[in-house]
Amino acid sequence: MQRAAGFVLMVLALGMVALGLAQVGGPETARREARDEQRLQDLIGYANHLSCTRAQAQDPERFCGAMPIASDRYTKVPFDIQGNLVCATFETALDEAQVAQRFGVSFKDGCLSFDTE
Amino acid sequence: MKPADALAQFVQDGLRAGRAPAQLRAALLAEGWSAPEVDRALGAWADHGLGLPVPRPRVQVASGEAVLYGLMFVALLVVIWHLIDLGFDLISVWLPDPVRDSGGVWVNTSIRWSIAALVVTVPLFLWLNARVERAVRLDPATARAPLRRRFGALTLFLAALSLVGAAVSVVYGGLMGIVTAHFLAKTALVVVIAVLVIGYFRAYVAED
Repeated sequence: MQRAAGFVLMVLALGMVALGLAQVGGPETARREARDEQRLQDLIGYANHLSCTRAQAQDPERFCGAMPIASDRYTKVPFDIQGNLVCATFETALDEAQVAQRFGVSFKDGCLSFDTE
Repeated sequence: MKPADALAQFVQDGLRAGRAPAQLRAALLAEGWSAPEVDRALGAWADHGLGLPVPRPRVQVASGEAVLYGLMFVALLVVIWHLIDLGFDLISVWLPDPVRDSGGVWVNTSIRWSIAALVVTVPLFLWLNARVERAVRLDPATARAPLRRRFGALTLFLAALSLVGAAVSVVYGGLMGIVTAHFLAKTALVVVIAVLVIGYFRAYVAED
C-alpha cells in the first residue's frame, strides 16, 4: 500500500510537471511573454503621453513630462499611430480582455486606443 | 510507559539483580527487540564492580535525525503545496470557471514557479525518503523512532484536515450553486493527493 501510494504520488508529480511545461512552453516562450509584457507597458505609456499632449496642446512639456519610449525597445520599430490608435507588433497572442481589465484600456489587434478629448 | 523506557527499566533491573548482560540480551532478542535497540539499552550502563549499574552519559536526541525528518517534512509540504497549486492552475486554464476570472496573465508565472519548486523538491524528497527507508531496513528499531512517528502523525493530520476542508468546500459549493466541472476537478485533485499522502504515511504511525 505504501509503495503503491508513493509510486502514484510521484507519477502524479512528474505528470503534472510535464503537463505544466506543455501548457506554458519552454524558456523561449517565457522570454517572448516577458518582451510582450514590457512592450505593452511601453505602448500604454506612449498612448497616455499622446493623449496628454493632444489635450494639453499649448504646453505639453509642462503638463505631460518627458517623452516616453516611442518605439519597440527590442526591434527599434516605431510605434504606429493610426488616428487615435497606437499599435505595436506583439510576439504572442495577448488576451485582449485581460489587457483591458488590467490596465483599463481599449486594446485590439495590437493597438491601444487613446482619448483625444 | 514508553517501550524505550520499559526496555531501559528492564535492563537496569536485570543488572541490579546481578544478571549478566548476555542473559538480558538473549531474553530481549527473543522478545523481538532489535539488536541495535538492545545494544543501545545495554550500552547505557557500565559495570564498575559496585554491584550497581552505573549510567553512562547519553545524547537525548539525534540531531542528524531531527534535520533529516525536518527537511523531509518541509520538502513534502512544498511538493504537496505546489502539486495542488499547479493542478489548480491547469484546471483554471483547461476548465475555466464560468463565473470567476481564471487568474489571467499570472497563471503562466504561477505554473512556472510550481514547476521550478517541484523539479527541486521532488528529487530532494525522494532522496531523503530513500535514506529513511534504508535506515529502517538496516535497523528496524528506527521505525519506532519518536521523531518518525511525529512526522507521520503530523502529515496524516494535515492530510486529514485537507479532506475535511474538501468536504466542507463541496457542501459550500452546493449551497452557493457553484458546483461546476472546474470546482469538482479542483476538489477531486485535493482528495486524490490527500488520500495518496495518507496511504503513504499511514505506515509511519502503524509500524511497530
